[in-house]
Amino acid sequence: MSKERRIIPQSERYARWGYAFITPWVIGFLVFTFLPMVFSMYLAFTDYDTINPPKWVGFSNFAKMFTKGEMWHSLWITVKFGILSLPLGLVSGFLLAYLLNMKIPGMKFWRTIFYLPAMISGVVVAMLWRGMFDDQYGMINFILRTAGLRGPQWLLDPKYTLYCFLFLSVWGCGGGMVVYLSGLQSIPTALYEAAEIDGCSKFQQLIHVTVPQMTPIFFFNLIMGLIGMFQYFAEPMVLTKGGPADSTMFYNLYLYKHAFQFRNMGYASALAWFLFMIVLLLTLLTFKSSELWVFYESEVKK
Amino acid sequence: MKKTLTVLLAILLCFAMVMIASCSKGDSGSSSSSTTAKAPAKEKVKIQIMVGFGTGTDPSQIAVHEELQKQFNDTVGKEKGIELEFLTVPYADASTKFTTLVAAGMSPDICGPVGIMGVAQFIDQWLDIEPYIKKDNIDLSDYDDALVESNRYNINGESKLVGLPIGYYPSALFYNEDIYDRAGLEYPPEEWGTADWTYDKLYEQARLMTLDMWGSDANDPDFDMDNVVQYGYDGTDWSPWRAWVGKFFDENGKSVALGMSDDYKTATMNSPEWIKVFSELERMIYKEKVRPRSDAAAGASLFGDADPLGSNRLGVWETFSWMSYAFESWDANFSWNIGAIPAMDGHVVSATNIDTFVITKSSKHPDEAWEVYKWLFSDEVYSKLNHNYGGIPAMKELQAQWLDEQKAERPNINWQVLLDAGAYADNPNNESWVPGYSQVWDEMEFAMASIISGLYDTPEQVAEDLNDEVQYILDEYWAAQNN
Repeated sequence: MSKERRIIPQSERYARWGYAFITPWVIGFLVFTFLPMVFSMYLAFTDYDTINPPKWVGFSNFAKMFTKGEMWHSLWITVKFGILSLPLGLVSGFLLAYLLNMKIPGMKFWRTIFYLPAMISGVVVAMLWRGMFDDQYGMINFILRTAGLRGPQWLLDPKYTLYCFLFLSVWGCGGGMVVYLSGLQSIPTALYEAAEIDGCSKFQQLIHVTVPQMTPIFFFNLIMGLIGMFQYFAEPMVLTKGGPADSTMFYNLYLYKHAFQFRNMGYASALAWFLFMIVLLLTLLTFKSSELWVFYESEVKK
Repeated sequence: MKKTLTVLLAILLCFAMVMIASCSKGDSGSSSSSTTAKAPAKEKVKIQIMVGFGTGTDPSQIAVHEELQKQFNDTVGKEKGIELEFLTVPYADASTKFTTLVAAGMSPDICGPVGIMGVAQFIDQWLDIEPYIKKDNIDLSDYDDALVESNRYNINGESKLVGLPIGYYPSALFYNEDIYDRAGLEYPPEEWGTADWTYDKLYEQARLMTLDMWGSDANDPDFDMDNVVQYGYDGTDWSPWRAWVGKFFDENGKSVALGMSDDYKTATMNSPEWIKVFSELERMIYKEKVRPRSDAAAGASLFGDADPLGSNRLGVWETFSWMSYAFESWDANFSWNIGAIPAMDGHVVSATNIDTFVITKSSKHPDEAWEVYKWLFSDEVYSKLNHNYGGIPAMKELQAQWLDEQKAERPNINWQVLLDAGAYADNPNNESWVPGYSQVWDEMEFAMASIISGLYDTPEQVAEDLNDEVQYILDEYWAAQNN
């Protein structure tokens, strides 16, 4: 008795091809991301020095994390940096994009120039700024000296070190600028024409047309900035290694120190999961708050 | 649809497994085919020496290792059925690479050259070589006794000797003769332990060599310590902090360098001696004003990218003789020489770095590793290795030859100062093991950095805070050991 051949609908055939194409990625994700994450979750409850087998210690890594001041110190350094750098980066990126959206000659050149810093790796940027911040030979103190002012020991005096990283973060705002620029260019000109007919000045157009239209982009950059802030690592690692006197001990540096210097992989995993929870919580809160201030053109508010 | 997905996933997983299996097969296949092709009667045992924990990673040094590898494989190796291989990894990756290899069951058999710090960081991983030494009647009197003992550890009542010394690097005063001449000062003495050569005397000299951008020295009431262009003395830079602490002794004449009780269970870093450690550092920076208010290693500033003395903006640098790599650039820029370290409260101490080779406990072939080890420490090979690493030979009979070679190359330098430093070597060593090694080290760095950067209330408070932190680490360490 011959078996009846089933006719496969086209949609299912497409789906099969789709699955076939994404499978390598899924395997990669499972092997190199998901399983290590699960393993690190397990390690967070162990004492593991990377040589000997992990020893189960229950919640003691978390207890140590919350009771020792060091974690809170590094978290505070990261948050303090974020409070200063995030708004500064968002605003400077937007203003730069706004300026570079104007129709003046040579604009492509300026866009390229301002975007360049975002193309350079964090390590190279840090090396470059290390020279700029040098208290004896750096350009910043040279300018200050020329103006008759005494420049501080930027990278060596704990009072100033965090501000050095603010310079760096604002200097790299070109990355956000490109996203803002694409957002600015997608605002319908009809809105500006209508506002102009209604007698709006350029500033009023900026406040009442541009900014509301740009809120989805602000939202995107805010989320990315938040995540980036808690992942801040390469620049302090190159410039200060957390010093002097732990004044730039960002959370990720602290985590790195425990994982790779002290080989406390269990404690480092606990730190990593706590960081994950913080980022998740803040992202969810930002998403929740977006209902209040992010405007989508196609969205109809009830 | 679910079925299709499952089937596809299964196929891909099988494919991935086949690929992995074929890759690994390819390796073993090729090695087995080569083994079959050349099939010796008895399979050779491969002994791997991992280089990267210290010196030994420069291309010229790697070339010497390759030459030695060939020499061994063509002679002793052939005779004993051992194949030697040097595995060189960058210094920055050495610890990670080592732990990964051990965890994966692919441990190297020997590691080195490695300093006492490298040994201490993985103290549980090294084999006690004392039984082998006894079995083969190795004469330890060939080496300076203190250097041999620096690799002996007594932990939890168990004593083990993990390595023999290959070379050592004492610290001494490396000074810029041009700066001394400009200040019209007498050079530091060549002789160790002279009665009037104290840190007070050194600071007196250093104050005259410390200049601000207006040309005033540190004795001048108008001296501007925020705009210093030349410092007189930089002693604690580029050195472990314990090298500084090792200059201080308790009332029984015992060094307080470790900062904990003999059983390593109680921190003593708030003792009067440790408070003095911090007070003296405070004095050096803020009262005498002769030392930079930052670690050059921490970034940039006055000394630029050069080493502190190499910047030509420093009078005296108390540092280790492994700075020999910089001698050529010093020669090109200024006249320099070597002097004896002064006394602190009547004690003269030369912090010393010592290189050794260690056999790993996880080696699958410890007996063969010992054969290689013995060969490394045979006269001819030992001498070659010493030349390769630039240390002073710990083997006594080679020291005179070392001195002659140095004198031939730079006749004006007081090389004898470095040889004589051996009698003043620090004990315990500035890098020696303590529980929770890296964390204790980090806490000490933090405490000292607090003083240097001015982020502290009083030396007493710094000592108290450090003691609390270190006690926490010790308690944690011993609790983990007892579990």
